[in-house]
Amino acid sequence: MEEIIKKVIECAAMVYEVDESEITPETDIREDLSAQSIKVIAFVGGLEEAFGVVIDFAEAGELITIADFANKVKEMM
Amino acid sequence: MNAIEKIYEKARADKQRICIPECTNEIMMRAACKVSKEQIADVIFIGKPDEIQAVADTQGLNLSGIRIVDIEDAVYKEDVLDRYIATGKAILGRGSIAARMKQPIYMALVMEAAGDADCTIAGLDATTGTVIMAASSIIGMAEGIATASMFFAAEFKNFDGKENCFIAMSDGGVNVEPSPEQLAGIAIATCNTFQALKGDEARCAMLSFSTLGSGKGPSVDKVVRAKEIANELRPDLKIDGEFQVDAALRERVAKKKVQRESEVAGKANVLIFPNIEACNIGTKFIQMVSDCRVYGPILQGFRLPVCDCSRSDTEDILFNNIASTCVLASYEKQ
Repeated sequence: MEEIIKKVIECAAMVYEVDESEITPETDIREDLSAQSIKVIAFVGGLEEAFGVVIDFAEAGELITIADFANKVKEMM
Repeated sequence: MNAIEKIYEKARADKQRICIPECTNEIMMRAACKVSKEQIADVIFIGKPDEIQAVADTQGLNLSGIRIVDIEDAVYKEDVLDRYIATGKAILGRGSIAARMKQPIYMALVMEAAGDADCTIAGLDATTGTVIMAASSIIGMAEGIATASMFFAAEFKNFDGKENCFIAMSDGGVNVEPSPEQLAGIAIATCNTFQALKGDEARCAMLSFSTLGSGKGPSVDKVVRAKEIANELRPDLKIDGEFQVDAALRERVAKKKVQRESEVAGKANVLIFPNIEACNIGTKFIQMVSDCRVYGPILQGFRLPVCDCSRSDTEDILFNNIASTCVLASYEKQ
């Protein structure tokens, strides 16, 4: 799980253009990073490329934190 | 000739290709067949051909003249995806797009983005959220526009002495509390949609409870900043404010309240509300208390036209929205 969280943080840092050190598993992607839907789409797309999964956008809309996304990725793998 | 008749005329004069991913919905199929028969657009159905034909048979509809794209045609799917990726405008990776193309709405949008269609209409079965996310992830936003928004217009037989007065409004459907950047994008997108449909120059008022500083507060500051951003991004558009709605629409009020030159005050034909509450209440109130003809809502702000219809739309409303979307597609090519 640690490895998944690390990769999810890497992906978020790239999409939201912030340093990885500023992101933790508790980071709220919309409140703390950006509420723009186009950013969430790019983030989901990045996770799909990195992990070889497909995450439904409607389901992604219900995920809040980095840890939520990591759990979703683990479930889909 | 009223505005909708002019829209039909424009659609026929430059026929566009529209993708219909929800073609097995009976109401959508009836509207699309009428569009095809009346030469408003070249219609493309996306789905399983046998299922599409079965619905047509039960409805007694003739599908001649309508192109049917088989959602399971792997060769075409691969080809159109290759061409979409080659445009350099794909937002998601190839694997992510290919997986989503099993859904007709994504197939339709990839076809549009690759140039095999000019516009898409969906939302009779899918939610607005689904349509927005699909369009955002495949088509992407237009330059300088940060968010999708809903265009709505009303045509009044007589308003303030003006006959067939057509007034556009936004955004009463997507952005709850838009930022100044988002509000500027909503204004620009609404001007574009207005000009495409009406053919007249937009005069866009950024609405507030304040006219040029008569009121104070964060919501006024937001509207002022949005107006500045919109003017910087599109100096060619007439966008002004902040104005109260009476100063925006009535010349005699504008003369009193707007003590400077303005090409918009008193003669606005596009109204941008500060948030979703104001616009949603305002547009519904107008429909309830006046005898006006309503246009939209039309989803706007994407790089290419995508129409999100309401799940309660009738055949006639869909017909009009398809015609409007095709006119928008034609305008954006010019």
